[in-house]
Amino acid sequence: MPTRRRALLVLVLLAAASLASLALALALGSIAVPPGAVFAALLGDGAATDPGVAIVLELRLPRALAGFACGGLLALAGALMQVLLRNPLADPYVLGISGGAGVGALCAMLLGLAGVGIAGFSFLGALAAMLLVFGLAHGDGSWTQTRLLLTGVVVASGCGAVVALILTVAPEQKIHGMLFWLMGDLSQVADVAPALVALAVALAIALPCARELNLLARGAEQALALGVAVPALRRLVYFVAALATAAAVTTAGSIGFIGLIVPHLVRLAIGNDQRLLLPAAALAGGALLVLADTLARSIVAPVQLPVGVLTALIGVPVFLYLLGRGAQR
Amino acid sequence: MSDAILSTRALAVSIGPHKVCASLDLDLAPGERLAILGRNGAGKSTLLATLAGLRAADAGTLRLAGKTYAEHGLPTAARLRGWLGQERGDPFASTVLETAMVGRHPHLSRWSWESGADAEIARAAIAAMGLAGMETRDVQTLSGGERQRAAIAALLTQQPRLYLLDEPLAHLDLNHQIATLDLLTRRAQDDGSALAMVLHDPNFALRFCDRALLLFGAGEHLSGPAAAVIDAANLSRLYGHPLRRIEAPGGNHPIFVPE
Repeated sequence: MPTRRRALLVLVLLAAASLASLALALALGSIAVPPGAVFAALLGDGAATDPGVAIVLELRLPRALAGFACGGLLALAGALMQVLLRNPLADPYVLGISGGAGVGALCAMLLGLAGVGIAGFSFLGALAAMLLVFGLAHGDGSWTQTRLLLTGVVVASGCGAVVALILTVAPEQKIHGMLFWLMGDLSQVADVAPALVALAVALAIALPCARELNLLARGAEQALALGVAVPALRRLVYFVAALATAAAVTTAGSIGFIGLIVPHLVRLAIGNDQRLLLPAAALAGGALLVLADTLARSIVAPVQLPVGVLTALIGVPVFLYLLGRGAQR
Repeated sequence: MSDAILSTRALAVSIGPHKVCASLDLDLAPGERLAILGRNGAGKSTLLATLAGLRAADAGTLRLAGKTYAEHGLPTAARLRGWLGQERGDPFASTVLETAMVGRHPHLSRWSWESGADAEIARAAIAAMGLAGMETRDVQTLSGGERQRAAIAALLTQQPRLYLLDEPLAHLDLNHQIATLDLLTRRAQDDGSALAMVLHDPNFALRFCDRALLLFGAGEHLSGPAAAVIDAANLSRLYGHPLRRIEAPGGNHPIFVPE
């Protein structure tokens, strides 16, 4: 069990790592901008005619911030879902939220909308899926993890079928964009602010309940006996996790693996105390996604890979390594 | 009785169509130990969960230290009564110390972390349950009996005034069964807490409890002083199998063995 001091130390280190990842994202890319010029651009000292200033401020900074916010949101939502379902294999997409968002986004693209239109439609899709799963899982007033999980899986596969249908009927020139959206892509971010605000709000709601979440992870009845208002806490966690996922998916499409793997990595490294795990997962998820996106747009520059492919390629081997190491302990 | 820690009047409890008890009047004073006996499916766990305020009764009143659970509110109730359930499934890794420390939750405010004093209480409970030296072990690597003892350590760490224990002896070997019952008895004597526990062995009930509640199923029950209620006729009816009373040479209590 971490003491408060150790928790602060871990968080400070992770915050430093996050800042380092953001700095790297600003400096690296198909056009190299020297660190001095990056600083100058951020401080507003750069010459307005310097192309480096525009690249850093208008292209790389919004994209890096969006990556950080989405990574943080997905990791936080994943950690919350794992507690809610008491299942270490749960991820933010397990309840069909990304499926609903996908249907919304692809419909918007089919209608020829762009930017904010796609974001709006995908958020509506995510909300619809979230309410549908919640409503169906609560059909008879009871709440079991299995019922919630099964409802989510069924809704997700239903959305998957609709996505496949849209991909088959969509005109060819739109399919590339649709596939990028489905794999998760930070190059089309319309607005960074909603995701950053969502991350701050989600953390502000989740952190005060962190010790209660520790108890919920051990079982609903024991948590209730120890004074936790379980039904209210479950509803809160469900909606915070679902809205965090919706905000991330709306901003950058369904980026996989961050929500599953980051909470796991953090748990293996520092234990399962939610008071430390939740903020640490948010920081680590943000940093990891910023790094992955920087790689995605620089390793085969000027070609950009979908960041979701990179997160999977980085996440899977690291996860398997840590799992193997954990088993030996 | 106004000084009773737990008090029920005309309490009716059922699970679906099955009645557990139709009209239970029960008073548990400080220091008293109650054994709940009955067959599988008679509703022992359901009754205990009801007494813990975890599920609603059909009718009647239930008071904890003079107030209903609703009047206490969840956090206050959690400082007054502790409940040990039967389920031992931890999906996430957790050390023995962390497992015991959850008992401190009701005593901490929202933003405070466990202090050194809280850790001392948890370590003492772990040592009392014979798990000293295993504080940093992951509970998922423990045996069933060790896990059970870690769960009881969490309950001891909670330091409630009323202990409600659902099969506290499950998975424990004989020496730990006796040690656990001795320890709980000492708690009741030392700090005036009360115990109610579901037991399967009437001999333990007779030896370690002052009072007994027999659940016959179909809503019938019998409660009273353990020595008066636990006899061969009642036990034979309770378990649907004849039991014989044997006077133990030199012992204070008779023992009951199945025919």
